[in-house]
Amino acid sequence: MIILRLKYKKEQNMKFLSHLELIKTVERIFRRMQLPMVFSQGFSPKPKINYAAPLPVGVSSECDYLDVELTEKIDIKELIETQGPYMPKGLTFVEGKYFDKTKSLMSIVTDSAYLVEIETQVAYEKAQVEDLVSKFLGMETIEYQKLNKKKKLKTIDIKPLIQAVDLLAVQDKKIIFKVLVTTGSNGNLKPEKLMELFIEKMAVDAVPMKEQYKRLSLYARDKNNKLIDLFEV
Amino acid sequence: MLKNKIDALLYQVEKPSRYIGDEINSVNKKITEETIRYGFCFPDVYEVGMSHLGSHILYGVLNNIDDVFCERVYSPWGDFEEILRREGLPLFTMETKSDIKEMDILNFTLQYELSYTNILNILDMSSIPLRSKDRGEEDPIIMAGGPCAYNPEPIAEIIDFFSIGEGEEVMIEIMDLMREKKAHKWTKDEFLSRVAKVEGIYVPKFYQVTYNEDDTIASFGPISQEYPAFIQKRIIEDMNTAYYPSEFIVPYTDIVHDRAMVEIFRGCTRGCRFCQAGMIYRPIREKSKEVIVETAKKIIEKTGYEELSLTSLSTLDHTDIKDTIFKLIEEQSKDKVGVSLPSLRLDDLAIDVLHEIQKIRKTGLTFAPEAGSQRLRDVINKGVTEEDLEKTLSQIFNSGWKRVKLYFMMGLPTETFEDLDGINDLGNKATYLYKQVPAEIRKGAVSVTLSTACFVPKAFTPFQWFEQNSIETFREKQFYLKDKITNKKVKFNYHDAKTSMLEGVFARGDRRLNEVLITAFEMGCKFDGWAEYFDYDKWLAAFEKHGIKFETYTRGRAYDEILPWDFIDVGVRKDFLIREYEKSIKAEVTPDCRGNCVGCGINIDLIGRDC
Repeated sequence: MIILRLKYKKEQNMKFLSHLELIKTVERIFRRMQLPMVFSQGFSPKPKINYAAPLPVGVSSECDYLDVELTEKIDIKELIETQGPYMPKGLTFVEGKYFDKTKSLMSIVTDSAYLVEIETQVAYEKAQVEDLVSKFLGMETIEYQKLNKKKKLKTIDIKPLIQAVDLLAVQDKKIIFKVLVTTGSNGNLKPEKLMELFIEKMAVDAVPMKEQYKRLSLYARDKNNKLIDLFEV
Repeated sequence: MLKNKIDALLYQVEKPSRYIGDEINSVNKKITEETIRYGFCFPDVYEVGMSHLGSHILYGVLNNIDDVFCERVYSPWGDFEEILRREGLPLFTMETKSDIKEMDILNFTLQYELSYTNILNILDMSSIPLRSKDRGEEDPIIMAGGPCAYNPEPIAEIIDFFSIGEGEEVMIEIMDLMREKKAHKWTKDEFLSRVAKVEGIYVPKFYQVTYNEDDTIASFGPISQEYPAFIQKRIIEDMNTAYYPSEFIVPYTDIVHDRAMVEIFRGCTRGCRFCQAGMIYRPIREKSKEVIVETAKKIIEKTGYEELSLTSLSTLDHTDIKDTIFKLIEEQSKDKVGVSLPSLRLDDLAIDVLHEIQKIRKTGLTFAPEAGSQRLRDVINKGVTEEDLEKTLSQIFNSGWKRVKLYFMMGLPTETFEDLDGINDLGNKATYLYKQVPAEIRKGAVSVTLSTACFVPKAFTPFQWFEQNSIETFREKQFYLKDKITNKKVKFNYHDAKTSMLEGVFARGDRRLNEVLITAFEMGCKFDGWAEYFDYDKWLAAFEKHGIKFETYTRGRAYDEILPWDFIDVGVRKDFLIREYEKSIKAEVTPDCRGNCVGCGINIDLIGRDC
């Protein structure tokens, strides 16, 4: 098997594409590039393209990954250098690497880093926010309740899913964090949920943000549970 | 900048990707003083507008002219409109997110009558006065074209000028005049009086209409000798050399027809008597197999589409259709591109072609017998026989299909309840034929959908004199058939008779409807073709306010009455249409006119040669 793993950026207005729209757009990009793709059998053959972790509509990403299966190797450097005319503004392939076989991208992703921003009603001091963050992370459990599929209330603790919350800046009425959260088959925490609970539990005077955040990177973990790049898996 | 403000609002709207623009193959140009800024408006949502082939063609024609920059404009869905109005922002173009008021010219494509209120809404969102007479020199010139322009009168006081017929060539002539207008600083009227002399152009303000006491038209004509008494439609002579784009804009979001479209011919020789397209798009003009195959290849290369559709009226009538499809499938299957066809006629050829198409992709099957009984199919001159229908259904079921959709019309001339029974009979026949298929081929249960539309008589058809069924009659017929259909494997759909009534009014309406339309818009009507927006009571109130009845326009008419669209010359003669109407009443058929001229007039009056 020839699997080409590509790292891409989804920025500017491309953030408004839903995951399904992205899938269609990428298939058409590869078709225009005449990439030698492997197709599924049957009446409606589909190229074999897999994605790491779908993004909600409105969220941009500096680092996402996809795998595409090819019938023969193509020059990755050339693909990156000549992609211009084939790409819509805001979508860019950054880097690529070949794999012989691999587990699905979706199953190897463990963590993602996001840049998030909340707007507060009053201006906070940096020290004040630092204090709130450490108090928040110091809580025994960070719980909320949610209706499950059987319409029963279920309590969910997000604490084990929070890997890190770094305060980057406090400017006027804006607080900017970099967060690292669990992503993938071992649990999934959305940054907006994290911020919603931070605002709620710490009684921050702010409106919960919507999907206005940015994905910075995706990671897997090695045997020693150390974060690694998806190209190093 | 307007662009930044709009982008920031996209977080709040449903399906934002339909507003972002910057799609592959969309055009951007440097704007200078000399640039002719052109807004191509499709008065419906992006998903509908982007599926329209004609818009893609004209977008290419216009942007091929160096100093013309054609941008697209669509109706925003209600949620976004509300936000834009709340924020005090105007409607914008897709390409540069400019206020549409900054355009030199706005062109509305008229695909269906029920989009007219959306035209008004588009103008209103950018504070452009709705009536032609109220707009100043600083407002864009408003033009319109497309199939509904063949009866322009119901919006003649809103639109500055209409382009009648095919636009590829006349658009260039209009742009030549726009260039002069800019260079010589002509006033709008100076421009309009010149454009009025271009063949195929109708400038309503230079034409006058008077009425009789009984609501019929007493006279219609130009206000001065310098303007033509008849407006002859424009056509492209040779489809093989005509402009056709390969760089189609590729949308991000799912649109209605999300595939590459290759037009294979224009016109139709079948002569179905209900069909406006079959009359107004004459004569038949085909593209050669070589041109079709080459065009398809280029479009696939430039767009990356995974499906290719051949488009035309009655697609399988192309002289070389079988070879063309086989060749396309051979070429495209390497790249896993599927080939699809629009609705088919139920005949032998359809079966052959379907077998071939099935090799790549299996598509759902839709056929349009249009009427339930042989007698009524003869009345409308739909040359499909009961035997054809049976044979085809049997063959498709034997080939493994089990889902079929059949389209019909209700309210056709001379229709009786026995004809409606025929629709039910066809549904039963289909499920019976499925049961005759050997068990090893049958996979699961058969599903037959019978879909009935309400027949709306259209201008330039033999039925243009026919009285449209009333809402009550349509309802009675719909309920009759609904009760009749008891077969569990047969689904029955029917259209809302109220929207068909309104469509009928505007399809055969005259100038007095302009004010009714404006009133309806002011009362809140928009997206009338969408069930979630259509508000019949508001329309009733608007008509009442102007003392106008629906029946004034849906009534039957006498042959000698002046019809609102009589001054438009489509090349098909009125005496031919009368002859066809007379024959229809007697259920007499007229054969396909390919190689067997039936004397509609198009060859003598428009092209001056045999078809």
